[in-house]
Amino acid sequence: MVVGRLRMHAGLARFCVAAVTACALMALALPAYAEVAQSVEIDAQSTLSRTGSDNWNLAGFATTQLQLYSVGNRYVKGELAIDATVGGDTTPASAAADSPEPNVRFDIPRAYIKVRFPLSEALFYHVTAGKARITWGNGSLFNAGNLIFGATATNPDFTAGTIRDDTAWLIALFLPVSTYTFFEPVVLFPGVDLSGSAAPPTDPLDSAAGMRFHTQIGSTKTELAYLYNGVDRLHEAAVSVQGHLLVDWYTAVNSEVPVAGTSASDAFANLAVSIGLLHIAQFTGGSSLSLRLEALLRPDAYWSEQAEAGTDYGISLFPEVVWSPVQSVNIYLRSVVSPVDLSAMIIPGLSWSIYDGFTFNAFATVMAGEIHDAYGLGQTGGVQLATSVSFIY
Amino acid sequence: MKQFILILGLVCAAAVYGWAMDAQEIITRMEENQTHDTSRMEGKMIIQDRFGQRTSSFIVWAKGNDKTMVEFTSSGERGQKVLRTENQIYLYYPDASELIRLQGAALRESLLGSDVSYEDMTGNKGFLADYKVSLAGEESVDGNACYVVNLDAISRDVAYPKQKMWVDKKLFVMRKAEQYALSGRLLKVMDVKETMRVDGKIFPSDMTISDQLKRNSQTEFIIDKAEIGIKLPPGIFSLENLSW
Repeated sequence: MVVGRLRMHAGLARFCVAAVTACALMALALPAYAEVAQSVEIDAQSTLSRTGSDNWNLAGFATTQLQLYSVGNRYVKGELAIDATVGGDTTPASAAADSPEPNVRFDIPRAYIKVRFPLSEALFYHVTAGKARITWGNGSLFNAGNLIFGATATNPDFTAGTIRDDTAWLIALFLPVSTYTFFEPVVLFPGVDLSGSAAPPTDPLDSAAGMRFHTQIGSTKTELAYLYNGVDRLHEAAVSVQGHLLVDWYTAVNSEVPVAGTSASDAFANLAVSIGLLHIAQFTGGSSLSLRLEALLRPDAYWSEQAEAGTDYGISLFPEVVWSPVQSVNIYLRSVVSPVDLSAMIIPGLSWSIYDGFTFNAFATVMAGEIHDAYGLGQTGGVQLATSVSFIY
Repeated sequence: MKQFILILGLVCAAAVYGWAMDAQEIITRMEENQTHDTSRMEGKMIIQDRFGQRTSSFIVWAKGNDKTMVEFTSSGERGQKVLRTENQIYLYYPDASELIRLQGAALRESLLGSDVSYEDMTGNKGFLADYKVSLAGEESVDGNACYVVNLDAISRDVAYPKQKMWVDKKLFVMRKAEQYALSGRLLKVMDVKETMRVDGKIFPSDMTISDQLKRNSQTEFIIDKAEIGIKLPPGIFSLENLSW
């Protein structure tokens, strides 16, 4: 029995070595030549912010993103995106300060290589390595199925088409089983400090690793996911489904997986459920109305109003209405509502794509609530008015 | 006299045959031209509404009627992809890195703001499987003699319950089409401005589509380059390729 197991292990090892060698040889045999293409996006924004009861601050800044990406190779591709922000500090605290410091900040939101290898005559698998984005689950703002970046966004951009744009240093494998079914194992590394300062060494155990399984059951898109979160030493699991019944719906639930040393109450403490509904109505004349409602529930968080600011409440809502009189114009009203303390952040705005790649945006942010609420008018950035123009070329 | 009657009879028979050419045969011959075992095309769509004009370029790979992969290459939409297989549509947005399955009302959304909806991409069994066809007569479209064919849906899985098509009598290529709601309301009009011949197949290469429910709206599709009957890369119609 033991000998049989050893033989099996030896056979498996030989298979793995052969597979890796074959991949390496194939990579050598295939041309990795690619051309470089580029695009630039400049976004110039002016923001008027309320910084105190009678104080207002006007700040202007421009963000430029340079994207360099490969084209022309079907087996290897890469992308490098460099962000430079010039002007008043865009962090809410600094933007709201009496005299924000002029600065130039750099960031690299994307820097990755993808490489693909044949799995069979009809299927390929691919590997992504570097700083990239992976989205697990479904949800515009709230997504409990997103074990990698969390159920809610850390730095959402409510004026963008994609509200969440988190990226991370990772290695991911996209392993298809059939047309609609695949596995996606991923390893995430601790953040890399780009400032050049001597950062303390990071513990390899602070990494995270996990996998999702994506398939389609009937007409329902289904995902099962697991992630070991090394920073918090947590084992987390999630289930996400997306379907259609009168309206488009999607929901996800995530929880800590009880292991040795943890209890079911720990799992309940980390339970999160997100629910989303989406309906798009088309009208005569070409206009359309998109209605979205998302909710994030955390059963073990606070369900009654607390006196301290920054309390994590049990329910948050994200209603969104987007009216498009024509396809190039979007008039939207987005809001994040905290029903427990009856506060909200309300973002009305307009986006007009005037020419190819050229877009004008105008939006406001108003926080409705008391100073200790989740969203308070008296908080930093409680009222903001902004206009921006962006150009992609 | 007998010879004259015989010739007259033959002429009449030919005319009757020409007039009564089977609508199914017309549609079959048109689909033989316009549906390809495999193809790769590069082109652009010029979208015009009352606020201006935008151009998006794309590459489309297709296999028969039922598998299509569209990748947008213009800078504003670079990397956005649409996969259609077995009547299902998945989208991929590179910024969000998210696979989205389109269902329900979302299928009626327009493709990048054009006059084409995602629903227009569904219905993949060919016209004769989804519609009962009948010949309505002959008309000229831009100087080209055409058969006029009415199509009435026999399947519920189609975007348009009724269609009317003008098919070129010589080339068996669509010259014009009108698409109607069940109520008889005109929804979309397609006008073919140019055709392209590749490997003996003739198909529209410059076509305008106007959604009649939109005001001052029109989308022009232009095919710049087409390859037909080529060997497509393996796995091209998969979620792996969509997320690549």
